[in-house]
Amino acid sequence: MKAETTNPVLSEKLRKVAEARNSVIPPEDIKKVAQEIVSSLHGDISLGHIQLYKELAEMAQFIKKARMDIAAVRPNDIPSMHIPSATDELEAVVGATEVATGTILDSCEVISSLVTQLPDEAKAQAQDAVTQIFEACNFQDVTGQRISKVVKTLQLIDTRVTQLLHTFGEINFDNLAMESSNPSASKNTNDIGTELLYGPQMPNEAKLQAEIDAILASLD
Amino acid sequence: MDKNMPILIVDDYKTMLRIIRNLLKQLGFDNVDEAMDGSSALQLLRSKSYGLVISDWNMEPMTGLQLLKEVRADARLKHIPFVMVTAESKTENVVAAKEAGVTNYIVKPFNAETLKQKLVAVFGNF
Repeated sequence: MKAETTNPVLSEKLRKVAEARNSVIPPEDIKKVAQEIVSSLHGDISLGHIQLYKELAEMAQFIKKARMDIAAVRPNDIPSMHIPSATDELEAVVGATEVATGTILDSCEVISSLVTQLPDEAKAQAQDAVTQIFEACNFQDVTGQRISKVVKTLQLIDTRVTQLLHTFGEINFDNLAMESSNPSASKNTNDIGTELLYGPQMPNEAKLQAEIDAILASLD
Repeated sequence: MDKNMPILIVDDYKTMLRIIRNLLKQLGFDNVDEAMDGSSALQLLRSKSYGLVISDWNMEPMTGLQLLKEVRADARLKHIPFVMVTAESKTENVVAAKEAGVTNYIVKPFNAETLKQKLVAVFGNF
């Protein structure tokens, strides 16, 4: 490869190096050439600038790698495929438990109607057992509300991932950031009470009925 | 008290409506109507004389809390005992319901004995 430069001194040095390239080049000569290159730099470019350019190049490389890493996890699939699939699965769980609970309640109602035909002692026991089944079926409502909370969390992740993709220039949803940062923009009178909707608390956090009663009593 | 008084239960889960209806039936209350949100409950309340409302909180488009406020703001309805049955168990929920005029508050999941106790608290022994 022909070495080209506008500096005649440097050109001479490079020519000599090229002539001697089949022989061993002493490190001192290489150092001299490097110093000549640095000293030949003109204009506004300084060693500081070169360092800055080097760092910028490294940053550009880092960003490129980050984009490749993000692309590797196929982020477009998260909002388009994974989140809808997960929410569908969860909604199927709610639907299945609702059907099952309905069947249990159907049977309980049949048993309840037959309880009157039992002897008194058996009647009371059977009625208590049916009552306990009714009570246990509460789970379906509470489970449904818990799953709804998870679905909302997934939807939030969906929004955030979409915003990230937007930031990286993969997609363009114009109003996404505005909608996300201002979820109450469409609040109307029918939203009264929704700001206090937390859903079921975790068992170690949920208040017992006795605690609820105490709060109510303290407000009388 | 008249156990045949009409009771309105409000919940957006059909299963919960069935559970409450059955538990009320076991307590001797058989005259029960159902609504699945605050708006339709309000329509029923304005079309018929009820002795008790048992309502969930978390419903759309009208929440149980708003239904309670609507009931308390209506001169013809404001006397009706209103029991909230909800999974919302934070203190601020109970305080908000109390300030809106709730008669009693049951946290889900609940049992038949709790429901009975609250009805006794409202109507006396039955």
